[in-house]
Amino acid sequence: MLTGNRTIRLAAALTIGIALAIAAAVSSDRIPVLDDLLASSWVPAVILSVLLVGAAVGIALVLPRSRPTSGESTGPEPVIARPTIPEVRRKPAIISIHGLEAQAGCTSLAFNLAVELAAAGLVDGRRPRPICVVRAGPLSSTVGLDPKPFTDYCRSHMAAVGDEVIELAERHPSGCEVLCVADGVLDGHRLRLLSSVLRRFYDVVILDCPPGDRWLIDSAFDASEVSLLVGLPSDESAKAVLPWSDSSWRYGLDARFGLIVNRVSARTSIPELLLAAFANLALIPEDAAAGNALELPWVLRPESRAGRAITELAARLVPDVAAKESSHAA
Amino acid sequence: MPHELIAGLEASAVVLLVLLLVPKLGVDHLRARFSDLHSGRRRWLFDPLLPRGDKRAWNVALDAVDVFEQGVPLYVAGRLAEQRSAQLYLERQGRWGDSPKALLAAHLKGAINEAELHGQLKSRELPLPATKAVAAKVEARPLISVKWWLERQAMAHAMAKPNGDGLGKRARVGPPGEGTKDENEAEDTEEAESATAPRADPTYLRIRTFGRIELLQAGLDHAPELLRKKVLAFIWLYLFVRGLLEPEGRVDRGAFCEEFAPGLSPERQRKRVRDRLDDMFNRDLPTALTSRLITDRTQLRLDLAKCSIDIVRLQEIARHCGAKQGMLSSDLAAEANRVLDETEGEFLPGWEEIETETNGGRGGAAEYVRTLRQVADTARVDIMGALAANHLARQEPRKAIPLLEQALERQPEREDLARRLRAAYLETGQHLRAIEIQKDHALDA
Repeated sequence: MLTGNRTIRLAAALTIGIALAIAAAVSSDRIPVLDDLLASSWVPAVILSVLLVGAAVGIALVLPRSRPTSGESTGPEPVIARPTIPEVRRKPAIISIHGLEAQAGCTSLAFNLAVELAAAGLVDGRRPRPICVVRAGPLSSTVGLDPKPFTDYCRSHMAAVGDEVIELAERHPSGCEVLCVADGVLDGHRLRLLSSVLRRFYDVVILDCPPGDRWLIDSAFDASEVSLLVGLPSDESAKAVLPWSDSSWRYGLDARFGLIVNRVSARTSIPELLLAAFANLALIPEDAAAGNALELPWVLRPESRAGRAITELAARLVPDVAAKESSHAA
Repeated sequence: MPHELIAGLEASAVVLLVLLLVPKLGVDHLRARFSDLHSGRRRWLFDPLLPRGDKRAWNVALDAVDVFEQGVPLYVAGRLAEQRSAQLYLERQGRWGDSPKALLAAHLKGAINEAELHGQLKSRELPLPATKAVAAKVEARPLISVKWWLERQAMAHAMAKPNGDGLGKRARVGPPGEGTKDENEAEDTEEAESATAPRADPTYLRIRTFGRIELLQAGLDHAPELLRKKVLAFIWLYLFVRGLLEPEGRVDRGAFCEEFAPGLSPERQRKRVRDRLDDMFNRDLPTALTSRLITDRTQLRLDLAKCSIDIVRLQEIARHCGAKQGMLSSDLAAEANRVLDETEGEFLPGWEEIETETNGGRGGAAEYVRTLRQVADTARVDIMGALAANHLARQEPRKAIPLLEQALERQPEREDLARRLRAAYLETGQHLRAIEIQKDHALDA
């Protein structure tokens, strides 16, 4: 399809060029100025053309184009603007992540952010210890994360969350910890209690917030310093972002929101409405080689475009904790 | 030769030039594409080079089509930019092998085990990943005389205490994950450390931050000199605040540059910080202040050893008083009253003005100062509550009432204080006020 477009485009340019040349030749008889102009300009034109072709040939011979290495994506690269996401300076940093539609990539993003900070971040000369509260789902089940212990804990502790809750979090080899939570188990009150415990033990708390429960969403927003809304370049996300945008502008809270558009590719366009919804925006490119983020996080794959984008995002989002010079960073 | 043919050839030459110059594809975000190539964020200007066959003529034809499609100037510029990007990519690939992420990825893929991962990280002098967070176990007090137990605790604390001045560290807002440990460690040294003994040292700096800023060394106050130069005051006080909030108080130089001069290019930010630090060291500030400034290429910090700092003292006293849960010794009560008097007023007054003059208030420093103001406020309220509890325990409810009223005014959500105030009102026969406070704070009857 793309090759077809290219052929049509080049053929059209050639056709227009030939047509222009014929038209100029025919009309030069009647328009003496044009005749004079052509007579005086063809020599410089030929010389310049030869020089240009020479330059192109020289460059092509001296600087051969680099080819994608094995594992590197061969798809066209989308233009990914540098992220403009609000900074979290508070310690510990608490960040809530909300999806604008199903399968938008909240869990993957939350986990990758946590791994990035744990693997490459630095706090007082040591690696930080982030925790990622993720929703139970297909991603978590593939790596055997079980939401049951936390569910049981909540059933047995109806109105309190003690320090022992951190024992339920699983440690990832990167140093970050993951607490898997089934949908419907957390409510606004419990989230407040949980975050007050987590903030005493961890440097960064990332909450992958399930949709639907307004109280829970509000509590997550209150508990966090920055809320990231994760959407896809689709009309559904554009529609879903509107209420968030309206509320944030109405209450003057837009500086606390960041919109993440996930799976951006060169071939799809992002709805204008989505881009205009928030001033703070970050794009995560689509990654053909991404796979399950919980198995091998994207930020640990050198060839991953999404991993690079998340590294940049982390550096911008939590500058005090994130790596200052990462091997992923440009 | 007919005239039309000659004119046609002439026109063809001009059209060929135009076709060679003008791109025939969409060139949206061209500037961003070049910028990304230059910084290595992007690998190719447009599409990656797809695998081609071995036929040389065919490949030359494909290259010619690329040139024609992009136009020669764009093609040449793109190729040069791609070359730079490829170099950066190769450099990054070269660094990747030694990075903690690569080692971690190898571990996750099963190529190395955890012990090997830690060994390799250590051999590269890289920090190890954080260990699993563990909740501190609260040990039950053995059933022995309280007096003996306190003596043993004090002895254990004295043995564990490192040499030198520990004033600053213990009172700092500890890093997350160590909070519970710090709390346990900090308990129960009977009386506060002597604040006067170390001051015989001429290098000892006494820092007063409440109500007005004072930096006293050997009887000389250096604060007016510092505060006259707002920009230098910002640097010194910012590092001071970070030193209070974090152990060691190391501040990444890049982050500080962004804080100091937000919105400028990194080069200009670094230059501005370098120039101001030169000013500080070379002429503008007394040695008493600059000798505590420790800078290197990556970090800045303020050495807060051999200092007495009023906010640190405030927190220490709050902790000592809080640990007593009731009656205080007369020395501790007197010290608590003295600290309350000394810390009257706002923490770091005039900070907003200094910050606005330096970076237009666009940095995150205000948040740190706000945090410390909250910490100080809470500590003051805790001390007031402890003093009030002391008065109640000594059957002096009238003395407890003003303290509790003042504390509740600052932190009305403190139910423990409201309960004490109600008790004090009841004991002094002010039943209506007791009922009022009960209603206001929804206390149980």
